[in-house]
Amino acid sequence: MKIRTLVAGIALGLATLLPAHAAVVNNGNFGPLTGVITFDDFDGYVTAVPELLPVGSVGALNVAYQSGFDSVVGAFAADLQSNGAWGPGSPFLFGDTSHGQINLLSFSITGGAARGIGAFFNAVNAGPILLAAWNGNTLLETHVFSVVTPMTSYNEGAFRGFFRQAGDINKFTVIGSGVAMDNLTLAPVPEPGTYAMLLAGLGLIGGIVARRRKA
Amino acid sequence: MHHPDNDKSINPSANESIRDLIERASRRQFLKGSVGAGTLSLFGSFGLGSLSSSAVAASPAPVGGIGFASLAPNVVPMLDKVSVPAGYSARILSAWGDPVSGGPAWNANAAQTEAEQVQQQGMHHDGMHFFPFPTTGGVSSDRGLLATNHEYTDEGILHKDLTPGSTPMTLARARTSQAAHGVSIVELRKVAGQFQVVRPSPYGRRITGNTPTQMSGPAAGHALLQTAADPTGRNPLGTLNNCAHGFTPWGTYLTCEENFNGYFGTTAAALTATPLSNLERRYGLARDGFGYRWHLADPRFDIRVNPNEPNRFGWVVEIDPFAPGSTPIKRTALGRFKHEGAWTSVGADNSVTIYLGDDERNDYMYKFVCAGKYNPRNRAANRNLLDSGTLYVAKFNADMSGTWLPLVWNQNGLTPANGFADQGEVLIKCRQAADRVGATMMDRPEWVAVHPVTREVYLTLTNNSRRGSNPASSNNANGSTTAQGARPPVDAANPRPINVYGHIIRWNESGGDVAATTFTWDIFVQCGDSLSADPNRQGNINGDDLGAPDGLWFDKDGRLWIQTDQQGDATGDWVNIGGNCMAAADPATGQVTRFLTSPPNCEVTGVDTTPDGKTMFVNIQHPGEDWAGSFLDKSQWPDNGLNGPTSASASGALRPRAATVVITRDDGGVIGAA
Repeated sequence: MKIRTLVAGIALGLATLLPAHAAVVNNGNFGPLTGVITFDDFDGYVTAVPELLPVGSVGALNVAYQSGFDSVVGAFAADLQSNGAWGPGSPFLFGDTSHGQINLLSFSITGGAARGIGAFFNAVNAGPILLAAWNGNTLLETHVFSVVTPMTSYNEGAFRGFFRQAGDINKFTVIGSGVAMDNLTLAPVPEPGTYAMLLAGLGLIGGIVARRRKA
Repeated sequence: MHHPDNDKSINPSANESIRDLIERASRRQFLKGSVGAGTLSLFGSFGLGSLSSSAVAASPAPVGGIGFASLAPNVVPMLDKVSVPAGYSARILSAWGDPVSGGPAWNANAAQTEAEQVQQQGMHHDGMHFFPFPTTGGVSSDRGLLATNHEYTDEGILHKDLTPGSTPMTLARARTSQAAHGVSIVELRKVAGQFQVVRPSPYGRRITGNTPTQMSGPAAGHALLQTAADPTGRNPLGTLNNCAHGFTPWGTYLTCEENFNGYFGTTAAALTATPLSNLERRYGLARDGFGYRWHLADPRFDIRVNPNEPNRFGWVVEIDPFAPGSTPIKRTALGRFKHEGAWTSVGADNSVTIYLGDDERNDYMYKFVCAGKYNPRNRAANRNLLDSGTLYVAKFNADMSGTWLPLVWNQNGLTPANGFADQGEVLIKCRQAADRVGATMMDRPEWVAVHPVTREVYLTLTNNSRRGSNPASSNNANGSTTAQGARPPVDAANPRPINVYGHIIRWNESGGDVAATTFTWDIFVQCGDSLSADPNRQGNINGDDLGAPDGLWFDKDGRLWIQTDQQGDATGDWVNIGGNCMAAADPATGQVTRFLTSPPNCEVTGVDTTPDGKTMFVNIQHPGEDWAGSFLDKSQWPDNGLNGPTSASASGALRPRAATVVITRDDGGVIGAA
C-alpha cells in the first residue's frame, strides 16, 4: 500500500471512531504558556530501532520521542522532492514510512498532560500528514492535512496542532511519508492564576512563529 | 614557464546483492614464497607480473559486471572533448568561474577579481564527493551537495594580461589566486531529468586560501603552529592545494592539502642569513616555491617573515557540507605531509580507519585508526573522532606481509633526543618521524579505494623517476633528506626502476580488522604500454593499456574505476596509450576496460555517482596545460561546446577551464554495468 493511501485509510478509519474535534490550530496562534522543543540539541541522531529518546521539556512536562524506522532527530537536510527541502538551519526531525510503519513519529508526555500540541510540518511530495492526539491508548482526535511548497523552497512548512478544552493530551503521533518536523510546541495545562496571561501571550507566540517561518 | 610549476615539479613524466556474492567468494590465498629476499636485485627482479599473478583476488567480480564496449584511446590527432562509450552521454555540469550560488556569472573576457572568485567555482577541480540528501527510504539520487576540491591555479589563465614570472605580483592578484583554491560546495538537483546547479542555494559555499579554519587534535596550539597573526596556533587561514579528498560516514567532507610548499618563498638574502632547516627541506620549501610569488605581496607566505606559516598547511581538513556556516577543521592527528587523500574504512565493529597517502616520490603510505568507534545512530558523537587515535606508516615486506608502524611519541626513536618533544611535534614533522621508524619509500602514493564489502584496500602508485637509479640512497633516518631527494633501489612493493607508468598495489588487513597492525599485500597491476619494445615498460595489464594511475574509486557494485594523470598529449611514452583516461577494472580478474577519454593536456580526476549509480560525476582538470603563447594552443575545452553548452560556449570567448562532467546512460541504467 502506498503511504498516501495508507495515511488516508487510517484517517478515514479513525474519523469514524472519534468525538467531535476540538480546535485545530493552523496558523500558530497556539496560545500562551507554550514551550517549544527545537531539536537543536541533537545533531543527526539516527533512530533505527524503537527507542525512547528524551527530546526536551516544557515546564513540568517532559517529552520523549518514541522512534520509528529511519527517523533522524536533529536532521541537517531532507529532500522533500517536489515539495522543496528542509535545511540548512536549525536541526529538525525527519522520518519516513518506507517500511510501512505507522505511528511513525510518536511522542509521549510525562509530568502532566497538555492542552495543546503541534509543530511545523512538511512532507515529501506534499503527501498527507496525519496528526493524532492521545490520552494513553485513547485516541482523542486526528487531523489530516498536506503542506504544499515550491520544489525550490527551503525550510518552508506549516504549523498544525490541536488545542483542546481539556488538558488531557499525553501522547502525540504523526504519520506521513518523509515528514519533516520542527519546533514541537506544547501548551501545558495552566494553573488557575495564569489564565489572565493568556491574551498577552498570544502576541508573543505569534512573534515566535513569524521568526520561525523566516528561518 | 606559463604557470607555477605545481604538479609538474613532482610529476615529471553495499548492497545486498554484492554481499551475497561475497559470501560465495573465496578469500585470497597468497602463494607464499613466490618472491623472497634472495631474489632482490637493483633492477627489475620484481617486475612484470611476478607478484600480481601470484594471488587470487579477495574481492569478487562487480555486480552487473562491466558492460560497456571498450573506448578507443585518444591518440594524435586528439579529440578536444570527453568521449564515452556508445550508449552513454557526457555533458558539462559546471566549470571554473561558474557561480556556486547566486554569485556573478563567468566572464571569459575579463579577469576574475577576488570578490567574484570567492562566489564562483575555483580553478583546477580535483577530488569530489556527492552527498545525497536524506529522503524517504534512504537517500536521494535526485538532490545532493557536490563538494569539489580546487587544487591549484594556472596563473596565466586566471589573471588577465599576466605573464607569470614577470608581471609584478600585487596583493589583489595574490588574493584572487588564493580565492581560486580550496573547495566548492554546490547544491545539485535533477530538473527535467538532468542535474543542474541550484542557484541560489543556501548550501552554495566557497572555502578558499583565506577562509578562517580551526586546528584540532594533538598538535593544535603547538609552538610550531603559532604565528604573529595567530599566537594561539589554532586559527589558521585557508586551505591550499586541495588535491584529493575523502568523506566520512557521518556526512563530512575531507579535503587534503598536498603541495602547500609551492606557495611559499622568500628572498635570497633572507635564506643566506637563515638557511633552510631540515624540516623545511624535508617538506620541499624553497626560495621561489613553485613560482606563485605570493610572498612578494602577502608576507604570510614569506617563510622568513612567518616561518611557522607553512606548518599550518599539509593537513586533512574536515568540512560539514550540510552546515554552510561551519568552520573547517584541520585534524592534526592525521599528520602533516603532502596529503593526497583521506579514505575511510569502517570495520564490522565500527572501528574507523583513514588511509592517507603522501604524494611525493619516495614518500610514504599512512593510516590513522580512530580511538573511538563510529556511532551510526548519533552524528554528533562522531564529530571529533578524527582527533584521537593512532597514526601508522606502512612497511611493505618482501614476503608480501606488511606492518603498520606507529608514529607515537617516545616510541621507536620518536624521542626528544631525536627532535620530537611531544606528539604534536611528531605530527608536524610526520615525514621525519616516518623516516625514523623505517617506513617503505613508495612510488608516489595517490588515491586509495576500499572495496565496499571486503574492505580490501587498493592504492595507486602513479610513477617514480627516482627509483632504481644510481647512486642509490634512502631517506635519512634523521629527517635531513630534501623532499624527493633520495634514489632508493627497487623493492618488492615498488618493483620497477624508473617507474614511468606506475602500478596499483592492494592489501588486506589481518583478520579483516581495519585497525590491524599487520597486513598482506600484492600488486594488482603494473601499468604500461604493451606495445613498447622495452619489457620494463610493457606492464601486465589485462585489457586496455593505461599509465600513471591516480584517481581510484570503487562504485557501489564493486567496479574499480581508475583515472590517470600523465602529460596528456599522447606523445612520447604515450603515443599508444593516448591522452588521459578513465577505465573500469574487475578486481577479481584484473580486466581493465577504457571508459572515458579526455581533452588534450588535462588530468582526469574526481569521480562519484548518485546512490543509484545512474549518474556519474567526473572532473577534468587543467585542459590545455603546458600551453605556450596562447592558452588556447592545446585545448579549447569545455567552451568549445563539444560536450554540450557551457556558461560561455555561446559567447565564443574561450578559456580552457576545469569542469565537472555528468555522465549518464541513454537507457537510464547503472553506469558501467551490463
